[in-house]
Amino acid sequence: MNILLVEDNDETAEFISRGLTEAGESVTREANANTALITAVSSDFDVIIFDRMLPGMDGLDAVRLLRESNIVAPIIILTAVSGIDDRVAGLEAGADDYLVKPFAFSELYARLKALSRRQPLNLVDTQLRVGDLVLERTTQTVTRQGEVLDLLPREYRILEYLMQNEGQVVTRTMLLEKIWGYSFDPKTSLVQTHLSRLRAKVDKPFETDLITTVRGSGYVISSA
Amino acid sequence: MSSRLRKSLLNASIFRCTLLISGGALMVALLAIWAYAYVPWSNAERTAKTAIDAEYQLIVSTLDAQGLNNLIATLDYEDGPVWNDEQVFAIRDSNDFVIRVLDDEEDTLAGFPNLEADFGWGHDFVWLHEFDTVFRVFVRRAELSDDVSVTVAKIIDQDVIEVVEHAQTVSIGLIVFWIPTALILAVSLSRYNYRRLGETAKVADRVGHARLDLRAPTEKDDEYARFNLIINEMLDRNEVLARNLESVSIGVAHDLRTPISNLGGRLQLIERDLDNPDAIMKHVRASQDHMDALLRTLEALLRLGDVEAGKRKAGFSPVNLSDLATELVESLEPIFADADKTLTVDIAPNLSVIGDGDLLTQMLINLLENVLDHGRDGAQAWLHIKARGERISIIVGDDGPGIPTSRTEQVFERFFRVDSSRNTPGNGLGLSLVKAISELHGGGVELVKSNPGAEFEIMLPISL
Repeated sequence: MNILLVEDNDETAEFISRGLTEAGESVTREANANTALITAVSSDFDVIIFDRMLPGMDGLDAVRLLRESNIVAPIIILTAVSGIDDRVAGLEAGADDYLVKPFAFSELYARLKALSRRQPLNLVDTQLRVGDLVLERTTQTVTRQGEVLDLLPREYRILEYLMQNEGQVVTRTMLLEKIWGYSFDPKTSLVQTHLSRLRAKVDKPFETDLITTVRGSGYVISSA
Repeated sequence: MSSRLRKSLLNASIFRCTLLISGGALMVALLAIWAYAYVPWSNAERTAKTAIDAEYQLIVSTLDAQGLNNLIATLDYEDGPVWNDEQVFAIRDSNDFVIRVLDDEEDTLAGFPNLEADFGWGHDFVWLHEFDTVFRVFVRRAELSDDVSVTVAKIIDQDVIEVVEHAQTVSIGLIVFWIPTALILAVSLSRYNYRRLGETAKVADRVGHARLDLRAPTEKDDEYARFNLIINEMLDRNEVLARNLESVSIGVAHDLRTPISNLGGRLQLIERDLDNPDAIMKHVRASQDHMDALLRTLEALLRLGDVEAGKRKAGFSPVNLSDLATELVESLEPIFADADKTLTVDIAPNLSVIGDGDLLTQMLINLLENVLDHGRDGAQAWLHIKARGERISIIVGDDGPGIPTSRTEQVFERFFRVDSSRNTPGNGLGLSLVKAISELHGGGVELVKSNPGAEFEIMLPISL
């Protein structure tokens, strides 16, 4: 991925770009909004990471400007301000995701991956397939090795989301936001419990596990 | 201090108001008295004027017809043309005119010499030195010829004069009595006002200097006392807020200290175990857990602050609470099952509130999480949602150990925990948030049963 990182805090920028570089991504860093806008327009990025508070310009205004200049690359906003209203404001400005500091690098990376993949195709695919697991969107049925799995609606949605992001880590908070629509983090093992129920249906009766837990970050589905 | 209230008396609004009102009332009273005297006076004046004019015409025609000497002669009754006091005194009873004819030297040709008046119409006094008395008269003086003029006067009726004099006496008495009374009234009213306000001011001043427990006096049932009641309610709330803040600071210090010192400990362990990557990994993971706990507490505090400040109210919209709760229960059921607890649910359909779905979900989750965290194994828990008149009643309860009676007052305080050793999960902010969210939605929460078991009831205004 070709990533533009706009972040004025050197330590945070170092933390992010080191992680991204180690993951084999290419990072361009800008420390202020004005130069970032020029850089964003002059070359092609897969994802843009934008800090909410930048010297000289509010990150939201910058995002708005980017969208006005027809930059379509997904944008994720980083912020030290948490609160739903800010989140909504960020999304309304044209950002695609919103992450509150401090965050684990794996959380950011999982979201970046999800964003960069979110491009057209598999959203409109009528069928998702991971190994011998097949999810039919038209009939909302899931089969593995031809055997129909009896999933609850929520389990179906979790599985669908995992399969859309095949091979990529989906974090607990991503699931909370996308599946439950919660902006807060319940203490209870809500996600864990539902995931273990799902795995009991999807993996347990079969020889190979498709869904695996990535300790400290989330879940991934893959056939490998 | 109360002395700060006082400036000059003239600046006191009560003082000025009292004087203004008293002045106004005095004016009205004087006006009424004047009107009482004016009616008989003006009637008498009108009658007198007509009569005097007729008399004047008579004199003029007599002068024209018979000449000045004859005119003078007609005014000579017995003792010559110039009248003495005795003659005039007699006129009062005869309802006749007092007349004086004078030449251009102001010498009396005929009539009463003491009758002095300017040309034109008016009223005047006539002195009768001999009788040591004075008559009030309506009078007109006019030219008869180039060098002769005549003054015709009619003695005013004693009744009319009495009315006028009476009115004058009453007016003067009123003024003499009224002004000092009004002043005394104004001064004492403003002093009373200062004193009563001073009591409140003194309390306000001392509360401002950290005596949070002081309250303004409310013994009397007047507007000052009622005002003080309102002030006291504010002081009550402020005291609660201030005490909350105090307990929050202590709570923050306490609750953040543990994960922070654990983190510090892990860092030291990492330093010691530098040659053992497995051990380092273990320490790092443990550190991350401590960090998560720290962030979670901070997050909860910030959220609580946001909710209490009413920040989220702008985004309120109708929320189907029944659907929201049903879906939530569906999500939580497996967790209850895994924890070997039973959740019984009774939710009336289609109950809506105006609110924030996200916050309402969190409110319910927090209550149910309490049950998960604190209820014993095999515990029974219940969630009932039903309409009660204009409100929605949400009851969440369990048959767990409950809350000691001595501490039920504190359950909604920040960082409150039944187990004060802080060994049980949670940060003690869950119920504070429940309370804040229910209040943000125009409702409230109460602990309805506490020992044994615990049952909370949330009331929210229903939206139709």
